[in-house]
Amino acid sequence: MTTANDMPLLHGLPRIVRCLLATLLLSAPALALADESQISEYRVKSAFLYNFSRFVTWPDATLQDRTEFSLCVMGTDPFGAQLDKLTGKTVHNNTLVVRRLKSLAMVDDCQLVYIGEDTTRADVLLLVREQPVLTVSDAADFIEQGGIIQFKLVQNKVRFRINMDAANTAGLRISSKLLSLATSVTGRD
Amino acid sequence: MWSLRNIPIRRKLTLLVVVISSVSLLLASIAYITSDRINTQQTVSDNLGTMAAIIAANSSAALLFSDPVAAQETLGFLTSQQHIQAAAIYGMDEMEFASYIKPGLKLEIPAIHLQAENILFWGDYVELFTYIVYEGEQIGFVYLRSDMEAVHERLIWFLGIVALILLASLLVTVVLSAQLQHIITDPLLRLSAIARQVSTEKNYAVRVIGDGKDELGNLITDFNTMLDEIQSRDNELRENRLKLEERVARRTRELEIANEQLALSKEQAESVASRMEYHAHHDALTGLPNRILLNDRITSELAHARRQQTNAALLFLDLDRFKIINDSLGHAIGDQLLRAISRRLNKCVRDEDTVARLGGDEFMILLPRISGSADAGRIAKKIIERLVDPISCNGHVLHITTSIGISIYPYDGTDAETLIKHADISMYRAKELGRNKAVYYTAEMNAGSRKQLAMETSLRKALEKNQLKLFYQPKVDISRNMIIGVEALLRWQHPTMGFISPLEFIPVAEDTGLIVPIGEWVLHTAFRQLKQWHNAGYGSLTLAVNLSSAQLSRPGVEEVVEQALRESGVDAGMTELEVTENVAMENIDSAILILEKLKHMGVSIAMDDFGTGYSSLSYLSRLPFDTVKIDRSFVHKIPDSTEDVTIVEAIIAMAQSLKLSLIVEGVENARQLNFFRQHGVNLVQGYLFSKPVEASELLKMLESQTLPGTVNLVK
Repeated sequence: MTTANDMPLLHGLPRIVRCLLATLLLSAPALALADESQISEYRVKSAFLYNFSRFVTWPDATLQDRTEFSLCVMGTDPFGAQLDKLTGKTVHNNTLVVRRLKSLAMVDDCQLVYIGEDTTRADVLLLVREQPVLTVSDAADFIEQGGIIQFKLVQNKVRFRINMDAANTAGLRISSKLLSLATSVTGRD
Repeated sequence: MWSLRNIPIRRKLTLLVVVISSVSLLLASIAYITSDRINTQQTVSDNLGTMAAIIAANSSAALLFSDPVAAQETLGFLTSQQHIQAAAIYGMDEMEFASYIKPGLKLEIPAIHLQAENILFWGDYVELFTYIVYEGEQIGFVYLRSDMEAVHERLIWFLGIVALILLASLLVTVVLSAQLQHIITDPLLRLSAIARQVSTEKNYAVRVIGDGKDELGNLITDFNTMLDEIQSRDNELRENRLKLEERVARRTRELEIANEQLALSKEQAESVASRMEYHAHHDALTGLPNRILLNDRITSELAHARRQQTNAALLFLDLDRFKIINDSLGHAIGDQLLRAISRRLNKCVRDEDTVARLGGDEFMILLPRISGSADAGRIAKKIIERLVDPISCNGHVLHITTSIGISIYPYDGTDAETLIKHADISMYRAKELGRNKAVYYTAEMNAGSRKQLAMETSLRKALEKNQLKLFYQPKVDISRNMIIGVEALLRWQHPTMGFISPLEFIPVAEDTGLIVPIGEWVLHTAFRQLKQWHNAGYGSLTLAVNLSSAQLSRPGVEEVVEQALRESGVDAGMTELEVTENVAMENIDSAILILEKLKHMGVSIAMDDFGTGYSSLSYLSRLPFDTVKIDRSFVHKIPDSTEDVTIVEAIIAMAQSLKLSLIVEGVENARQLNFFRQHGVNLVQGYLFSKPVEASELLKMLESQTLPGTVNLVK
């Protein structure tokens, strides 16, 4: 058995101590090292972007005629090189492509759009309204603006909120598994 | 030690059935339990796999979105799964993401196992590791640990069932086999009981009941058949025994009676038997071995001599003149003499020698293991010397001698018969040589005896071929100078052997019995011749014929004489029969009888050769002689030998006193003639007057009254 060899040091400690340590280790860098924690945060968020695409179903017509799945970033790109790592992954049988959009004109060709801080979210949302485009943003009132998924840090952990009405309007079906993980779901009966 | 062998068969059968059914049930149970355990494990493994799959599916989103709380929620349903002891979810960083431990258990969630995807059975519990996969991407791991209680409970349950079934089947088996074994054991027990009854009570009438057609049925049938057989044998035996006992009792009684009689006669029988045995092999008179025993001893000693290459000798003894002693002094004296001689003979020989009496005065001595023929000669000489000593018997002093023939093994023969024959021949040779002698056998003797055999054959032919002839010697009465009679003398003119003396062929004729026809022929021929002479005018002529001892010892000689007289028609008074003294003495009683008969017929009897024998005068006086003939042996030396003159004078005196006529034979010269004339003997026979001549010549003599001799008859 490999159990003994692979057992991390922490496992030898009582559970309560372990929990405390884990809390310290997770929270301390975020407080002390803001930049690094920010990088780590967006690394998680970039992974979330990819995972969102896996738990959301696009209308058949949207992905059928294409080979690519376009993950677009509007506005400021907080992910950096992290996001490019997703390039080439498969989403619903289409190859994921990362696009950093300079103008709104191309937005309706995206399947997922992250809308950065400096972007006029309302314009974008307007453009993709009733279009099968999953919209994601860190903006605090994004859900209220009509966005579909909004990142939210809860106890330094990346969590998210979902707007079911917006998703329904866009023609997207969101997996119940994803819904169960959301900190809040609006528009759900 | 407790042994299976000693328990009853029905127990064995039960045991057998129980053991077999138990073993088969047990094996079946083990197989079933093993198979069930495998199935159960599979089920457990499947269940765990399903559960892990559920956990994986439910926790994939939580993993992807790093939500341990949500993940923990997916494990929440495990509280309803009693057998799940622990569960855990790991991320791809191998860190525990969420975990569950059954309340009340103190367990630790192990670190992730890199080899993953496997199920491990640990006896008490089962561990399962499996990946969490989302859309083909491995996103984490699930760990599940379940107790085996369900499996164990199931096993215990099954074991209980098996034990119950075993117990039940055991019971059923025992009950059933207890019933079924009767099928086999009952006939056996019946058989056994009957067999025991038969052997203890000896009652063979009982039978075993049973009519099955299986092996046991056959056994019972065979057993009963055997009992039938034994019963019939037993009955037979009993009957036979009763019969036998009865018979034995009867025989015992008979035997007792017979035994009493036998006991009385047994001693007598034994002594008689031994006496008979002795007498069969011994001479009654002398106690010496007889011919039978002698032959035995000769045979065995010859065999011994053959092996050892030694010599042996046979001595054939014949006492000289014993007959005369026996006849003159009586049998009692003769017997005493024989006994005395037997004792002397025994003293002359060695212990190993055998002296046997063959009968009469014949003895045979067997000398085994001698070194040479000289030994035999020495012993023979010793016997002769010892016998010379006179023997006294009842006041008589007797002189006896013996003639001995000797044959030596192996020179004179290699078998008993030949040796005895040759010893016999030698003995006769000894007699011929003058008696009181021992003579070794020589091949010539055998040649002699062969000659005798040849003579015998010739003699038979001689009669048929008229080779026998009668010559006649005149008897002259010197007082009247005339031929008063003739003596017929037999001559044998053999065609190749020439003239053969009667001294040679008469003994052969006597031995072979030819003397009878020859004697008859002589009597008839002579009497016929006499008749012719009578018819020719010489009617006073007498004729004398010699009678041999053989003729005289056979009955019927008087009939022959009578027949010859009748046939020739000669007057018996003109005939005379001459008998030698010894011939007359050999069997005096029959001789007297025959001679009396002949004399009664009118025939004269002359005693031939008077004085040569040893006959006493008392015997002579009993014989019916008319004439005494003085033997030529006395005449020969007369008158020069005073001894012979004395004897002849005594004979003449005796004859004259007995009123017997006298005739002298063998007179060859004038001096003899004068001597007898002076002594008053007028009848003379001899060459002085004439030799024996043929009948025709004698007729001439009668006619001319001249004799061919030196002295002529004076008319």
